[in-house]
Amino acid sequence: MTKVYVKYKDGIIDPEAENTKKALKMLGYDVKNVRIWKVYEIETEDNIKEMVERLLVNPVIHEYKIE
Amino acid sequence: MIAILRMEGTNNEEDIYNAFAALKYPVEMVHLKQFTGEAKKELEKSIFDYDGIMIPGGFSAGDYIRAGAIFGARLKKISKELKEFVREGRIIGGICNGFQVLTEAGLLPGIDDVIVSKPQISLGVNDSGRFECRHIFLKHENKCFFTEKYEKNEILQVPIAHAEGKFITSKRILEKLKENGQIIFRYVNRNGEYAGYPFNPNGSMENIAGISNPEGNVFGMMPHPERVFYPYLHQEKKKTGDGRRFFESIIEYLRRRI
Repeated sequence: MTKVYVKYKDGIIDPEAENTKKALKMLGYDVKNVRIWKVYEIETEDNIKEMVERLLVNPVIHEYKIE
Repeated sequence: MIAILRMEGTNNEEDIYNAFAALKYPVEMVHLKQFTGEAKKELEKSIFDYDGIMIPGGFSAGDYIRAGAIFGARLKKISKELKEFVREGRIIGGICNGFQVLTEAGLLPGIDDVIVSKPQISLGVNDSGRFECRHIFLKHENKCFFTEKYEKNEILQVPIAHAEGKFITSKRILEKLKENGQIIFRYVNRNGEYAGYPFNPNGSMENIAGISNPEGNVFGMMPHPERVFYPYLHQEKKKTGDGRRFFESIIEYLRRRI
């Protein structure tokens, strides 16, 4: 199984992460930063890089790694 | 003839259909599979049977992965035909989810090529982190074939309904958009001034709400002109719906073209 990790590039605001940070702070935790990754587990013999670039990421806002 | 392109999860096709029908322009609904050769033989269609394709709003493919990404990737199977279609001066329009589809498919901004292989624009999650659903103000900054009947700098009131509408692009593309006059609509306040939230409902770069390709025959916007086709759909008293001239502009262009 190949894992594809997708996250927002540095400098692009992730509103979901910002809101998570806010919520954790409201619960009384000292949180400096939250980053959310999306992980796809893909079982395939085909070209994963091509799949990722064709559908899973938008290069304007995302970066990814394949493991 | 206009094709309203639908697939699993589009849900604004009726309103767009009704707008063209009310203006007595021939229009029909077509499923994406009918264009991509995935439908039964007797249902197959060619995009060249139509003068224009409108991609409606909704939640195509459940907004999974990113809004518009799956529809966009599937649409790209007919990239070659779409390229020819646009070059011939036929129109492609996208409203809301349709705009997201056009950016994900690489049909907008249309600067480096008619259709590019990787998206150059993102319509990302709203800064508020919420689904924003209300009327907003738009300034019509440049004309394209979809907006010829509006005055330049006219202020319109049009509803929005989206969770992913934050316009993001690179510096290079942004400069080109300005240079070519491709920024058609920007979010403003009641007085027509650029303003932050809630007037810019999603945190879009430079308040961008809608753009066209350099030629003006491919266009996308987040707000919904089809939802203010009639004056009684406005919050305020108006003589005609602000969205009506959007459809009149398209029809006038297509009639002129033939």
